[in-house]
Formats: sequence, C-alpha cells, structure tokens
Amino acid sequence: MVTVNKASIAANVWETIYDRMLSDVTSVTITGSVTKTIQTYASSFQDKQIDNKASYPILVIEPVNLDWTPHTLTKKYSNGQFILNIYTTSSEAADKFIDAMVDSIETYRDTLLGLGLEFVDLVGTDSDNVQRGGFKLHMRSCTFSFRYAFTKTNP
Amino acid sequence: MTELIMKIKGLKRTNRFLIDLPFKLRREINLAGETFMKNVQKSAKLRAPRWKGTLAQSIKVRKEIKGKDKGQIILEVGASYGIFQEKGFRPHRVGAWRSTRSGFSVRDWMREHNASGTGIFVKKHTPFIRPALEHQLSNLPNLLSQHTNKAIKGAKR
Repeated sequence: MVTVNKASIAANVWETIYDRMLSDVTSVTITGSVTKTIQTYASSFQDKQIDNKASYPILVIEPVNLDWTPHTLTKKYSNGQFILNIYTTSSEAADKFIDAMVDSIETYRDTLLGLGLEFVDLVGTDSDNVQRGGFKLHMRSCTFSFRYAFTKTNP
Repeated sequence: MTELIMKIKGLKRTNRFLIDLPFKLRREINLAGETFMKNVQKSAKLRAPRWKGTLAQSIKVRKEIKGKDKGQIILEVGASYGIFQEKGFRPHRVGAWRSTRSGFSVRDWMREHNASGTGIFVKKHTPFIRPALEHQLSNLPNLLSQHTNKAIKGAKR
C-alpha cells in the first residue's frame, strides 16, 4: 500500500486497493467444503479466451475515475470511484467473494484514511451472469467512492 | 399598537439550492448515463462470442464531444461482422479460404477446432448487445435514483 500523493492519485489509489485485495481476498469455501482460490488479479477483464473454467475466479480492480471540486482557497478535493469485479463459475462463491471484498475495504478504512483516502464508502453493487459454453459465468461488482484533499496550484 | 413581524429564515439558502440544483442534477444524470453505458459495455463483452477476442475488444464506449450529437454517449462495435452476430444471418457455407474479417482465415479456425473439409456451414448467431442492454435496464432506475440523491445532497451544501 502506498501513500497517495497529488502527482499520481489514480496510480497510487489503484496500487493501494490492489495490495489490499491481494492480501485479504484470496479464497472462499463454499458448500461441500470446496475452496475457490482467485487465479488472477488484473486491471481489466481479458478479451481473449474466457471459456476455460480453470481460469476462474478472476478479480478485476478497474482503473480509478476522478473528478475535482473546489474546497477552500488553497485546497481542492479529488473525488474518485473505484470498481471491484469478481468473475467466478459459482454463484455462491461470487456472493462470498463480494462480501470479502466489501469487508476488506471497510475493515481497513482507518488505514486508507492514513494514506490520504477520506470517506471510503460503498456506493452500490451489481451482478450479471452469462452462459459460456459448458458453464455459467457469474459476475459481482462493487463500487466505492472516496475523497482526497490536495493543495492546489493558484489560481 | 402591536406589530406583527414575520421572518422567513433560510430563504437565501433555499435560493442557492434552487440555483445549484439544475447544474448538479445535469452533471449527475450525465455521470449516470456514462456509468450505465460502461456497464452495458462490460456485460456485452462477457456475452460476445469468442475466438481470438477481436469482437469483444472492439466493443467501445465514447462520448460525442462536438456536432449536433454533442454530449451523447455511444456504444459502438468496431468489428464489421458484429452486426451479423447481433441481428442474425441466413445460414450459408463459408469457404476455408475466406477471411474471418478479424485478421485470420476460416482455415485457421478450422485448424484450431480440428475441423476438416473445404469450408464450414454457419447457421448460429449470438446476440450480445441486446441481452446486455436488457440486463442493465433493470438497474437503471436505481442508478438514476442514486445520482439524483447525490445531486440533491450536493446542492444542499
């Protein structure tokens, strides 16, 4: 995890969240004592081969979206959102993974504040499922918002 | 003589709220639209038929920045054969020497799928945009509601 600084907000936030997911969200156990372990952590879903069941689960940490709003005479807020997606072949595993992801961010809210990310909150979740060849692919998504205050360049 | 004095408090704040609200609402509705289209793009990429991934890669979202369509968010499929997968086609035979229009030939596909012969018979298409759109439309009211609430909260400050 890295302290966020003004020159590289998007990169620092992505790296922080990636490190958080890498350490906290690794595997879940579903009905029948079956363990599903994440195979890939990536910044985007692959466009090529997705029909190999053994490639899943895949956790995608999407690039950060930012916008600025004025705060004081000397400071601005960079308001951001980051989206976490989990792709897996089991609906139960997808639900457990999304819980683990949300719990990880919530548990480390204090640590994220120490790195500069204020008011990290869950904005919403989404789900999708698609039949791919011989299996069903389940997707769960959660969107978080945050705020980062920085000293602006005048004017 | 007793005077009755009435004071209405908060009028300045209400006026500011009424001035700020349309701008914030317009911005949040635009953001909701962009989020919706990006979700449709994600869903369509999951549903698109795959071989080399060219079709899925070509599904893009862009915002029109000038002209009469300025501000519109457009989902486009760059691959020329995308429309046939989406809308369907008459079943027909394709010779092995034909191009797949994705940088390969039908022969390459046949080789990978251990198919023999001088061509293949194609009859099945896989719509991917319409199912993605139908799935995301069910989430649209929630998305608009979230962004509207955000606009109202932002205007209240």
